[in-house]
Amino acid sequence: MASPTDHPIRRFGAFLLGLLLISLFGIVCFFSSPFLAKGEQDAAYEVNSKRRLEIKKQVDSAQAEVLKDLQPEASFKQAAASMISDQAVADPSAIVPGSPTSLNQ
Amino acid sequence: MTFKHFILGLSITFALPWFFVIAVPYAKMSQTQAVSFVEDIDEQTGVYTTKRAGRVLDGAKVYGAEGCYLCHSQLVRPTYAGSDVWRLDWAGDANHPDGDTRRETNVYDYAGERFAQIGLTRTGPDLSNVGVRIRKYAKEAEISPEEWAYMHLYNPRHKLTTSWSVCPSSTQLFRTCDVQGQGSLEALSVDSIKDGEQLIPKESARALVSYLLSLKKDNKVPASIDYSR
Amino acid sequence: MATDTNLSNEQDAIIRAEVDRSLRHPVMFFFTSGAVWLAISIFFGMIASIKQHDPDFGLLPDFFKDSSLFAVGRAYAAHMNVLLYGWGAQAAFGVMIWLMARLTRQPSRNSGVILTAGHLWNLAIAVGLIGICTGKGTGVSWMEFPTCVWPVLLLSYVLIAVWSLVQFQVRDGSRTFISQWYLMAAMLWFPWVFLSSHLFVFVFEGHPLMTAGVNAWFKATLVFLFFIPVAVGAAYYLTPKVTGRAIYSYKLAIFGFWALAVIGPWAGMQKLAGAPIPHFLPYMGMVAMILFMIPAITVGVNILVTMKKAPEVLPYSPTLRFVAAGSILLVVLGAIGIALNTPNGLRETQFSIAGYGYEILAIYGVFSMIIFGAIYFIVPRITVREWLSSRFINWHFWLSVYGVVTIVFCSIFGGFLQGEAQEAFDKPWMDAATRGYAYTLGTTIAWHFIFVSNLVFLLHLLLMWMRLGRRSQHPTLLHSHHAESPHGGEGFVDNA
Repeated sequence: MASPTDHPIRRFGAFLLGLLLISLFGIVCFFSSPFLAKGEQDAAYEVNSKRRLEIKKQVDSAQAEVLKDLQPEASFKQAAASMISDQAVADPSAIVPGSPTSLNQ
Repeated sequence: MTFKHFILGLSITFALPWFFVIAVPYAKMSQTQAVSFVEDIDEQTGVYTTKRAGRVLDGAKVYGAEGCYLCHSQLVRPTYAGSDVWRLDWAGDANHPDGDTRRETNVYDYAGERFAQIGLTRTGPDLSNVGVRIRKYAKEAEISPEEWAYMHLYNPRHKLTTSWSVCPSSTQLFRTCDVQGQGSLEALSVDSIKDGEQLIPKESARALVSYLLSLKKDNKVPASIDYSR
Repeated sequence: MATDTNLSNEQDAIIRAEVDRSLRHPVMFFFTSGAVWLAISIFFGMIASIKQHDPDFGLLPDFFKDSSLFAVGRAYAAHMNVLLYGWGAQAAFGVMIWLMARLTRQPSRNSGVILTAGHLWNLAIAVGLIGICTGKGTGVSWMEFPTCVWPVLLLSYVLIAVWSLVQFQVRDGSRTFISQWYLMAAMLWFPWVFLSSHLFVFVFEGHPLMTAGVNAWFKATLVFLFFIPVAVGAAYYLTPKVTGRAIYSYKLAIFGFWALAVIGPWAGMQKLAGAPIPHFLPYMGMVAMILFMIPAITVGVNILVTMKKAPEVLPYSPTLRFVAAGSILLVVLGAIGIALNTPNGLRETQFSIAGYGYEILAIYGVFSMIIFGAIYFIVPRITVREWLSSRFINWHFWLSVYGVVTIVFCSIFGGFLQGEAQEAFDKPWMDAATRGYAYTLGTTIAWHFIFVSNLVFLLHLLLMWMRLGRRSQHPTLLHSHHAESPHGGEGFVDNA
């Protein structure tokens, strides 16, 4: 105390230096994390998925070939339209389980 | 010695082992290459896959939280480091119809887990192939492997053959509840349960047993990493 | 140590009093809360130890037998983590900040921040303990606190330790004492080791075997680069202070420091011997564990020969007695490190109770014993009261020594026998499983001794914390007669 080197600026500088030294290897970890923490690469999965994706591509293109001329989208639209327009028919002879009608029976 | 020199010396003597023992091995091992089977030698193709997922990994977390690693190891050491390979049913099956399946642990055996539970002591047996052993014992007792495992976790001393076991009764993984209808399929047959109540495993017990039953290393290994050839 | 300044003895005394007064709250807080956590840790250790030889132990009340909170795996994790971070770290912090302040002659200006950070540390430990006991432990040895805890611990640490580094930079004069080297190194090594390990294990994603490897490295370096240096730094301060003699060889002391710095960080991976990791890793670990004998014997010789130069003080000083015990056990630690890490030794003891014995020897036998000596020295100076009972101190000492020596003997000897049985692969497993029974039983009994000794210590410390110590000029000595004292009549405490 009361030493020639003791004044607020030096204290603050020492504080920052202390923080830097304490976190030194944390900083090193942070900057080397792109090299260290590439994440566990599941090499086996990657190799297997290559084959799988190729087969999928083949299947997709074969399907597209076949469906090219059939134009399934048009018939989907037609079926949807008819389903919307058809009304549900009420059938009084059908009894819904749990309804008052069934309970009265 | 000035402060600067002191810090320099300290940093260098720490940085060298940090780099060579921690950072570089960590980085290199996180990029372990996949190994493939070779048609001519292995009579099959494809990549050697050992990854586990889902509930099995939840079980790995339960294994860690319950401190099983305190008494059980999961490492079959090569013969220069220990005699684990030769102990009955630890490393595989010497009399398997397809040939001797015993092997030491390889680098792909912990795939999917965050932390390889090598273990602290061997108060209890090594668990690398406990899935194989549980299935064997369950077959002899004519119950399902899951039931055998639940019974063992609930009270390891219930069988005459392991009455000396100091494995703790993991009762915190089970709970009693009332029997509804015919009762749960997973209810344990334990004498101390009152009438009208049943003892069922909690979710943590189910996950743990899934994990334990997944611990078997009898899959076929590509010739390039099969050290027993 | 007053050679560098031209202060008079009176001004020295005034500076010392100011330093002590400025740090009385944080240091007493660290010691007292540390002692409470030590008692809690030993309690959990007793439960874990009992369940390892008698899992349905009839004498345990049903609550401890059946409750999930005290399941053996959780109890063991609680025991180790509370021992390390609740007791070990806090006791180390208390000693560290007091010694650094004394050696740099700087009163602390940040005691408020340190005290707050200490409370934060305790809160984090409590949360971590509850997490472990309720089954939310991480399953990573010595890092079992739930992952939300360690950043809080690290932040608290920074707010406790950085001020000592500031004090060092603004000190008067340029000469340093060996204790400051050890303490400053420990202050930097702890965050380097702690942060690196937790990042590699919990944040970065890597191969499961390498996360296990980093964990093993953490366990070794936490001991070699934090607990041991703090203890050794304290020993190098206390021994010349109490004996009044200079250290036997200062050059040897400096050599010992750099030997530890070079050798220590390579240790740890021997726990993964035989695992499919690069072969040089476990071999480096084995070599470092064996070479640790070098700094251990250096420190042991230095401290003990210095004490031998003042044989008239040794029987009376509690501080010296504890420091002597710790220094002898440090040499024993080095020797056991060699025995456990030869290729044959490692093969047999890798998965035996010997590892636990080594850890307890390091943390309790070496670190804690020396720190007890430091606490018996420091507390009278910051509370301006003397210890109440030399009998309490005696009980604390002897029960601790009996306890830790028993644990080490049982664990190491039992570990080798266990390992031998494990290696005999043609015998049934029951052989190996039951071989360790007697030794785990011995360990349990020893923990009971240590528990009693620490209850005595905790009581004594709490009384001092409540300012109920003796107001006296002369210190509480062992073997002293009440009728007459070599130091004369009662009066105020001499804080030299």
